[in-house]
Amino acid sequence: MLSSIAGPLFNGLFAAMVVFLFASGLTLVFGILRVLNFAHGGLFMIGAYLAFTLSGVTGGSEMGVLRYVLLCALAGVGLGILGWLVERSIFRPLQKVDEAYSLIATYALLLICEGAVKAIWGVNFRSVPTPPLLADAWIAGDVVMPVYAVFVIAVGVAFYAALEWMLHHTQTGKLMKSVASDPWMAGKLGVNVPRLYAWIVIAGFFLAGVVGGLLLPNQTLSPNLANAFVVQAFGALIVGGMGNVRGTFLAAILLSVIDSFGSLYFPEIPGLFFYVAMAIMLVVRPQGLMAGGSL
Amino acid sequence: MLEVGPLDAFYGDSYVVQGVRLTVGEGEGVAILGRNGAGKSTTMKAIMAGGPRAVGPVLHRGTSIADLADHERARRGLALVPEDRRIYPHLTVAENIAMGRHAARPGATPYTVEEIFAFFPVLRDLAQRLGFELSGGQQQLLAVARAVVARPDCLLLDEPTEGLAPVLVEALARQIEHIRSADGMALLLTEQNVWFARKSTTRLYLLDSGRVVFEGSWDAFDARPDLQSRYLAL
Ligand SMILES: Nc1ncnc2c1ncn2[C@@H]1O[C@H](COP(=O)(O)OP(=O)(O)OP(=O)(O)O)[C@@H](O)[C@H]1O
Ligand SMILES: [Mg+2]
Repeated sequence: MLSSIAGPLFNGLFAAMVVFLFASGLTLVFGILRVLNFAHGGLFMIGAYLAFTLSGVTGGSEMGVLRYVLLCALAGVGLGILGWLVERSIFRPLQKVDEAYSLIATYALLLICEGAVKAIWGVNFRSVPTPPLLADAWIAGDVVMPVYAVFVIAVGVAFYAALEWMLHHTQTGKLMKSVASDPWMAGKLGVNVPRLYAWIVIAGFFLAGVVGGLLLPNQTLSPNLANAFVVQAFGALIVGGMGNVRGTFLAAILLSVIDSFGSLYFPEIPGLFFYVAMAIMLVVRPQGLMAGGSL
Repeated sequence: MLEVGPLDAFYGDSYVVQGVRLTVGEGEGVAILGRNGAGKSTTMKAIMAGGPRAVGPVLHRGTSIADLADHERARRGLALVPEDRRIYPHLTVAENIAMGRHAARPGATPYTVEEIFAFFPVLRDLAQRLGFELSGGQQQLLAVARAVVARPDCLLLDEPTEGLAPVLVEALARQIEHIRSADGMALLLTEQNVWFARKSTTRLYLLDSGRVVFEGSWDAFDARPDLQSRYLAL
C-alpha cells in the first residue's frame, strides 16, 4: 500500500527536480528581464555535450563523483562565458528595440545551438554512465530509489532553498527583486540596470550549463536533447506565475507528481497527465500559482 | 546648472510639450505651475528621459545628458521623484531609502539612512515597515527621502504635495528647505499648490497646453493676478 504511493511520489519528485533545475535559469532570466529564452534548451544541450567531452569518458571507462561535479562546474563556466558574449552582441543591442526582437533572437540562438552541436559532435547518440558512487539504488520496502535520483532531488531542493534565501535575505537578492519589479525606478535611483541584466543572462547560461552536466548521466546525447525538457519547463514557468522562483518550484512538483501518478493509469501515453494538470491549473488559476510578487 | 530646451516631447503622435525652455541655477529653486494636463509631468520625464519621446537639448553643467543611461544621469546628481512615487512594496522604509544610495556621485559620500531619518523623523518610526504598508502620504515622504539620500545637486519633484493634508504640506516644505540648505541642492518642482511652490522656490514657469505662458519671479507673478485665474483656476 505504502509503496503504491511512495513509488510514484519518488519518481514524481525526481522528475520535478529535473524540470525545476532545467527551468531555474529560464525563470531567473524571465523574472528579471522579461525575456523568454527559447535557446535555454540549446544551452542546456551544449552544457551536456561540453561535460561529455571534458569527461573524456570513452568506451567502457567511468568517472568518479568528484570529477563529475567538477565537470558540471566547468560546463557552467563555459556557458557563462558564452552568455557574456551573447549578452554583449545580441541581447543588449536588442533591449533598446522591441521585446519581440529578443524573443526572435533567442529562437535563432536555439537553431544555432542545434547546428553547432551537429557540426562539432555529429548526430550520433552518445551517453555517459552514472558515476559508480551514484549508480547504486536504495531499496525501502518495494520502492527502488536510485542514488542518482536521490542526488538530483537533493541538489534541486538545496538549490531552491539557496535561491530563495538569496532573493529574500541578501542585498543582491533584494536588488534583483527590485529591478524585476520596477527597472525604470531602479535606473532613476542610480542602479546600473544594464549591468545587472548582463549578470542575470550570464547566470542563466551558467545554470543551463551546470544542469546540462548534472543531468548528463541520465541522458542520451543527441542534437534533439535541446527539446528534452523545454515543454515541461515552460509549463512549470507558466503555471508557477511567469518568472517566480517559488512558483516554478511548486509548479514543477505539482505537475510532475500528478503526472507520475497519472502514468500509473495511462502508461501508454507518458506525460499525458503533465499536460492535463497544466491545462486544469491554467483554467483554475490563470494568473499562476505565485502571481503578484515577481521572482 | 540645468539648461533645457527648446524641448519637445511626444506620446505617440500627440505633441505634448511644445518648445519648452527652462533653466535652473546652482542651488536654485524653480517651480513649474499649470493645471491638470498642462504637461508638467511630461516635461519632467522628458528632462530625465523617463517615458515620452523627447527632442531637444538637455544640458547638465554644460554636458548633454539626453543620451546617458538612467543610472549615469542619476550619478551625475539628478534625482527624480515621479508623480506615482514608485516605492518598492517588498522593501522596508529603510531599504527603500538605501536603494537611493546607488545614485551617489563618484567620490561623494551619500547620507546614511540614519542621517536621513534626522531630516525626516516620521520615517524613523516606520523604518521596518514594508513599502506596501504605507499610506499615500507616507509614501510621498519616503519618495522624497529616497531621492535625497545620495545628495543630488538637483532634485526634481513632481507634485510632492498631491493628496497631502495641509499640516503635512507645511512639514514637507520645511524638511525640503532644511535638506536643500544643508547641501546646496537645486530644486525643480512641479506643483498646483501655489503656497508650497512659493515657499520652496524663487521663480516659476507657468505652463499651459505644453507651452510656457509666463516666466518670472513670484513678485512678477503676483503683479499679474490674471495669470492665476486664467491658467491655474480649476
Ligand atoms: N503615458 C501617456 N500616454 C499618452 N498621453 C499621455 C501620457 N501621459 C500624459 N499624457 C498626456 O499628456 C498631457 C500632459 O500630461 P502631463 O501628465 O504632463 O500633465 P500634468 O501637467 O503633469 O498634469 P497633472 O497635474 O494632472 O499631473 C495630457 O494631455 C495627458 O493626457
Ligand atoms: Mg503630473
